[in-house]
Amino acid sequence: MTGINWVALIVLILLFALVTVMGFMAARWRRPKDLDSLHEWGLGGKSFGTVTTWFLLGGDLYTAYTFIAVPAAMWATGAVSGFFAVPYTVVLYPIIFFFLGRMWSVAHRHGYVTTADIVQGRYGTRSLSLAVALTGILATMPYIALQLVGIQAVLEVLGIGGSSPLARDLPLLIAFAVLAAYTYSSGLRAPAIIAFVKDTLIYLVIAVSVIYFPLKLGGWLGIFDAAQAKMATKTAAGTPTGIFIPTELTYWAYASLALGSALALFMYPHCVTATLSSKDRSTGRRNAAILPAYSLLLGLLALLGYVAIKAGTRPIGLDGKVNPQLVIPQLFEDFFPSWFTGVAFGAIAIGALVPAAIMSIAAANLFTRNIYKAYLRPAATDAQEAKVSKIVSLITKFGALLFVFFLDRQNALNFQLLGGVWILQTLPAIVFGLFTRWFHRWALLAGWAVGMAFGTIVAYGYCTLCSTRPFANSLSVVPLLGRSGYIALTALAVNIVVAVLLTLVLRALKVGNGTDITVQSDYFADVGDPGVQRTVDESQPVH
Amino acid sequence: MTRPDTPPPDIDPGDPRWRPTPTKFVVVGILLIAIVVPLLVSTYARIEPRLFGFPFFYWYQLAWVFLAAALCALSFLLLKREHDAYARSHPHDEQESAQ
Repeated sequence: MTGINWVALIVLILLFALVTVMGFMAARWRRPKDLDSLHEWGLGGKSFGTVTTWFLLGGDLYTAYTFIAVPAAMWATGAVSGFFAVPYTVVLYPIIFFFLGRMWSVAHRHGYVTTADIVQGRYGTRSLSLAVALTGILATMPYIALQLVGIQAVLEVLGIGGSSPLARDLPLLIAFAVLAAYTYSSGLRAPAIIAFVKDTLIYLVIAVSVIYFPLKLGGWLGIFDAAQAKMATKTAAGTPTGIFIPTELTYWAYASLALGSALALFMYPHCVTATLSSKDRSTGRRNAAILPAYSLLLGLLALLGYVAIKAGTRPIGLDGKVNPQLVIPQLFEDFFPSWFTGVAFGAIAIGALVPAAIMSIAAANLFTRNIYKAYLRPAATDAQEAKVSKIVSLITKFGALLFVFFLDRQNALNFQLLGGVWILQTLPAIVFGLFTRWFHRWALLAGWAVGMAFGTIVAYGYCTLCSTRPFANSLSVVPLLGRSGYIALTALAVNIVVAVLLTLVLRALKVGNGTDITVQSDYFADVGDPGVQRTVDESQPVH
Repeated sequence: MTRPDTPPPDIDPGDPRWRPTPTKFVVVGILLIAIVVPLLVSTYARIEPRLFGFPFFYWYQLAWVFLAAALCALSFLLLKREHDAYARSHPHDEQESAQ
């Protein structure tokens, strides 16, 4: 890596300019009456059909996680660290099939925008919905941080930056200023439009990669053999570098990372936002059948980590140290002509920006509706709500920057897994509530608190294979099982046990369980049923 | 303590959405297969047989991408068929939900 790759950089900037212009134009798309209400700014008027929802969800799900973090983990330590993302996205859709319909129905019957709204409606308990809202905002930050690391990786391989802290982080700040500007002006409509461009670019880059590299490098057999050899090589500590095929010791680690990630994903505010912005009940389910197209791409991209092993890619950062996060950009720069490197980097950078925008909007919705409006200013007008949301979406991005600065950037995948540890603790309150009112509100709150505390403490330091930074690993030995597993899932198990036991006690003591303003039919309602509107009328007050 | 879990009077309780039906049990079964089987790591943690150079561990999981999508699509169609059959026998409701 010597100097700046100017051709690639110019192509990247042109692509960036294109999506920025599109972002500003998106404000005029489908001509909403005005963007000054939260429904319009934050949910695109709840009017997206199957195709738009598909692009929007795809934009959410397949991000710098897919392009940078997963292949980097595959390159560094093999299957258990990275390839679990494939079964994760496989089991994701059957799982969401169970509850997306109910979530959509109750949200559209009552005008809910966030998960905390749903919990508030079901239990009428502000502390519980506040817990859900705060967890959602917290857990989104490391996920946005992962996107920042992805953009930074691209810029670093292009030669921008240097060893001084300011030179290194300046391009990152510029990218974020652009992102913030177009998110601020157009809301959710901006990412939905840009997602079309992004996915087109990404399909192009992936198609070229998965055909070109195996041809160039002598086929998949050789690529897998090279990976197997690298994973079996002993490190300085005398242990194997990584895992090519899981053994009995790591079966649970692999399966729990996949299951935990899948259960966690649709608790994130941004995924809920994308789901609720679809126009009828079955759009989400229809998408469950067509979204796996992305999962295949994810698997093939993950294997690019092995391709880089065979190709002998050396991901050296500008500070002269090996940084696995640079491996895919470096692979592209080594093999592609400069102009196509620019296209590929553009795809990665935009693929990180779109989800970062969606995530920060969703976190902002949570804050505005469930903290600002519930506690700080109950009488806020729609225009004030939209204003506060825009400001909070900026603050969330800065929160994410802090995660990048204070956590280990070498293993960006861990950012997403850390978010999962937290967000998964809201699952009992959100999902169980969609099906039953058996659980007691205080039991759910206690389960959440115990799960959060347990997960955070274990993830912070009492983990196996910890490096010097906190939150460096998401696997830890599971009590009773004796094998390592994803901390999020262990914490969820603790959470559920506490919730069930306390529910039994509180029900026996006949402690009041809050007010439920929903009825069963709310969970099955569809467009055309009484009380459900196809699109939200902005003149109606948000409640 | 909880509100009565009955549909409002303006909705026909015979509508399959409000009650458990055989189709729903089948759908739950199909979805559970699609969730549990891909997580049974011990059933596929091996190298042979290979396919196009891919070890079994890798191509089997990629094959599940298509299997799971097909099972989700099947579930969607089963539920849709049930709903459509009901809508045909109750033309009034169909008119309502088709608007």
